[in-house]
Amino acid sequence: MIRAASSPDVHKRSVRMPGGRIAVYAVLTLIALGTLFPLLFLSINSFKDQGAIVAEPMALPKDWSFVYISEALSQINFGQAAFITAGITILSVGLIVFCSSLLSWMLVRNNSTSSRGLLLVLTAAMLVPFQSLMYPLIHQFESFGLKNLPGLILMYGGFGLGMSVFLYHGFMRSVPLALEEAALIDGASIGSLFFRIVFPLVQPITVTVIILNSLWIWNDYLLPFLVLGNAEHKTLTLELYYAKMLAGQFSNPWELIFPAVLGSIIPIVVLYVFLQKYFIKGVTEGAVK
Amino acid sequence: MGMKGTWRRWTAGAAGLALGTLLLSGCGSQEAKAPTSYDFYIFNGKSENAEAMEEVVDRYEAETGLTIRLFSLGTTDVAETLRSEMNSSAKPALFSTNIGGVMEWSESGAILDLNEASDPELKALAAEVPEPLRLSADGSQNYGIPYNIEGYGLIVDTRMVEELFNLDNPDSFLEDFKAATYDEFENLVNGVDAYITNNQAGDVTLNGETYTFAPSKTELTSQLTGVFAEAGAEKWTYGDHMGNMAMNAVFSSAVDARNASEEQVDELQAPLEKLAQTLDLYSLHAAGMNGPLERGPSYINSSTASYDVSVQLFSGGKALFLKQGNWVYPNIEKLNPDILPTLTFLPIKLPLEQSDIKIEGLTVEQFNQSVPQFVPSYYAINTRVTQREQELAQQFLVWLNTTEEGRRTIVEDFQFIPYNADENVKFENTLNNSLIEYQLAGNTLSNPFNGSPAGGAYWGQEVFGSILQERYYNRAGEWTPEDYRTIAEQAVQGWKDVMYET
Amino acid sequence: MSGYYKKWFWPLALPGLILFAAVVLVPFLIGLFYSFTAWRGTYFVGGSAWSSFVGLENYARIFQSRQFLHSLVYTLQFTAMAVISISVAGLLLALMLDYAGKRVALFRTIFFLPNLLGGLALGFIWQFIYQNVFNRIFGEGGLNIEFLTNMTQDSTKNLFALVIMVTWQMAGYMMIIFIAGLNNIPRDLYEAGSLDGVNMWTKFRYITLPMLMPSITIVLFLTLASSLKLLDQNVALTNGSFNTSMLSLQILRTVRYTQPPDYGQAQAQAVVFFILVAIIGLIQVYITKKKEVDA
Repeated sequence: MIRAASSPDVHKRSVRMPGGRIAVYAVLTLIALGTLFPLLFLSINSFKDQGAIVAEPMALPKDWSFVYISEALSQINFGQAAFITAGITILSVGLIVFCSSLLSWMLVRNNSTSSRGLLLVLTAAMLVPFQSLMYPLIHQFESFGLKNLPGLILMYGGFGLGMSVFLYHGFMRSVPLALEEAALIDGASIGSLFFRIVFPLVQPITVTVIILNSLWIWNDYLLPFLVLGNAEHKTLTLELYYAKMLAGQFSNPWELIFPAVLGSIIPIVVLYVFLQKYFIKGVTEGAVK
Repeated sequence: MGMKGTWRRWTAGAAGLALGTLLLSGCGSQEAKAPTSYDFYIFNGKSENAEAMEEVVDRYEAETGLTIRLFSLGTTDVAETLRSEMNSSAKPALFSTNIGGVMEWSESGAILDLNEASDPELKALAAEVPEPLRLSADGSQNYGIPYNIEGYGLIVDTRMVEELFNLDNPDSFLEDFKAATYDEFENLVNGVDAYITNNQAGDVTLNGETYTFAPSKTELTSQLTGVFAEAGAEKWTYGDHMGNMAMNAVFSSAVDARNASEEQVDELQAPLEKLAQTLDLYSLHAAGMNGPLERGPSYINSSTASYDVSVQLFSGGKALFLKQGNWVYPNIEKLNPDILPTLTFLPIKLPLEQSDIKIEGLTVEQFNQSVPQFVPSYYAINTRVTQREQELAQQFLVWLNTTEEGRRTIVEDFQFIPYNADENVKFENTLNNSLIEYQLAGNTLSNPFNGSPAGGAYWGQEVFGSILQERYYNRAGEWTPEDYRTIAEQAVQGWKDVMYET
Repeated sequence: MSGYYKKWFWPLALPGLILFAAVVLVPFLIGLFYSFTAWRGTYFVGGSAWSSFVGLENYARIFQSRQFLHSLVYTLQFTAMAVISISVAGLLLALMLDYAGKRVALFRTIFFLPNLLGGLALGFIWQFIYQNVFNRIFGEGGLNIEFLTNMTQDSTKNLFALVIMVTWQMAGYMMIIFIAGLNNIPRDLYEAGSLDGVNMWTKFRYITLPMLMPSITIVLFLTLASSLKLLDQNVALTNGSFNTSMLSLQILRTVRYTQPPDYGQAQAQAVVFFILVAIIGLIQVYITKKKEVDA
């Protein structure tokens, strides 16, 4: 509001020289090209054979053959792996949103010493390196018969909780109690209270929770590696890892690795291009709490 | 009305999610159990015979009417996968392990000492496994039946030898090479190098016999760019396998190395120095794609010095020697099947003195005409499954190793050298045949590197391999005796660093 | 009112709490206990966890382990470099976008893009870039900058290789946080400055920077935590060769480098790792929070 009143455009023009601005655009363009370089590089080399990649990595492919891409995609079982990864991500994030929003709400509304203590423990968990609990965790889940996909989803649910509760808690404190009280006087049940009043109000932070958790779960490598290992159903990252290990434990078959990497990142990049507004918003929201 | 509706939807959703998770986990745990669907379970930790094993198991099932669960997994993360299978409710009755894994299973008591096998035939079979090939923790037990024998040395294409020295028949050369001293070997290497680079056709002496280079290069010999095809990017090729050569001067087996005293580790100093000298020679005469490969960054780069590249160099006739094992045969087959019939092993030689060798009865001459042979994997019985499963697994092992069909399977289907091969065992695989010759002549060394800390995974590669790789990278110039000494000192220290009193 | 929420506390908080306990809290406590035992992954030496209790022996061993100490120092070196590099790069990008004004959406989109990719995928791409492209550009016959060649084959150079890679990956994320921070600074603060005729640097130093402290707290926290715990990129780029294991990788490797696999020792390393991350994280939050209050 303050900004709008001070009419930023006028303000900007008054301080900035056009020359400086052009220079900044030029620098930004250069950096953008630098940022895109590895990805462009990856793309062009996904169309070449091993010899061409190693001999002329910077050259454009002679013919745009999809042979390597289709071979790599079948090597990493792209369809199945993408489906599994998407399934794991969606279910895990659903579980995280469900559990952490409710938990945070209850922590905010029951502001006692013990609930503050709980919040502290939950947020402190963000500092716990995965390595310090992974072996007992796997061991314990194994003994429950959960060293499998459902177990993996539950684990993500637990790991995502710390950060998500932290985010939700910070946001929910600003939800006025009066709204909820009014709804209760109207005879709302606990379910509609949360679903109709609280949850819509915290929707921006829900986007954040979804985006931030989806990003790391989609790309995670260690947890699927430990839980699924070389099982039949693997995530994309895991397929990528095994493709490299199996195809050449002692060599680097780039004509396989590059298109496989490309294949593994395309789903999320496409999603980003369409939903970038939400990605950026989500990250921003998480930052300002 | 709206409020009530959403509340119901909301609870339904929550219940659905909870139920879904429960169901999923339910399915999962059922999947993990299901132990009743088979009679016994084989965990095969070797990828080379994965397909053939499946056929064999099918045949055995047809013969016996049993249902067997088979799971094969090679190379990556076998140990971790086996660990998780041994922990699960569906445990393998028959599993593969080796000198690296045996400590774990003997300490936990999960591995059956075959001296106490319930099946008398298996007990007898195990008793016949030659002492040096036995799997044990401290030398007293007998935990497994060997899968096969593998070995390595300097692989050479005898046609290349013929054309280099203008010979009609390579046999006398090969015999003289085997009997030659290290100095003669070194002169040969320098001679071949001079011949490659300057067309300098002099003489070399092997075992006292003189061999003269052909006056002019042939089509084949003109392809040579170096003497050795090296894989500097792969630490196991020198850290493990060359390190093993030096260790053979001090330890007669992997178990010896595992139970080494600090004095024995110190005794590695001299052999390791001699080994460093040998590796200096190899790396100074390495072949590259278009000329010699020099020490420095490209010597250890995975695009110029990987395992694949080294095999490619040798298969393409760019190097005279490839230091590798019989496992390389299928790789060469893919690249140049023409040379397969003329491949053979020659021994790796070290400039040892008799005082460097701590093994009774082993002479320098004997050492330098032998090739290391060892058992990479063993079949073992899990004590943590039912008595019936254990017995069925034992019967399978007896069938595989004693019946005619079983033994034929090992040789023909697995393409494995049996640990008890005799002169009647012949392969199309010339490298296998060459190893059997050494075995029958008694010219073999052992695999103490499997008994170094973490069986090579640590000392061989992370300590010794890393020390060497760093030198290959940084020290393109001449190596001095001072370098040999520090390499050996660091390697010995790296071993002692992880020797804890237990 | 509070009674109403109190009544619902357990039913609604329980799913989250159970999940948290089962996945994080209980395994962490078990792990803490196991770090004092001779645990071998599938069994305990001596039969049970209690009978294999070895006191501080695992901890004594890890501080004698050169590999562990090296990876500890390596991790700290990397973290110091990465945190500075990522934050400064993120801030510069944010300032430039802020300065450029409108029509920067495309830049923002591009700069954030690398964040979407997993460390493993990125690592494979960068491994090739360092080994082939860099050697070509900076090698002999090229620009001849020896330091930028063979970067993944040397412990020190690899530090820089990792820093370049994670900066490329994470600067865009931090940029977005800084932009959000910049947008929260009331413009009239600058206008007041303009009237007094102060220059841009002074404005940055005395207005922008103090007002950005909340964003800086978050950026430092995120970069610190992710740098200290870095694993995937480390695996993909060198997999620990040439003494380049960071702590996360070192802990995974400990069980491979020991026979029988010394899970007890790996667990002790992980506990030390946790203490390190916790201390550094808390100190950082404490200091920057204090600055926020001061500002």
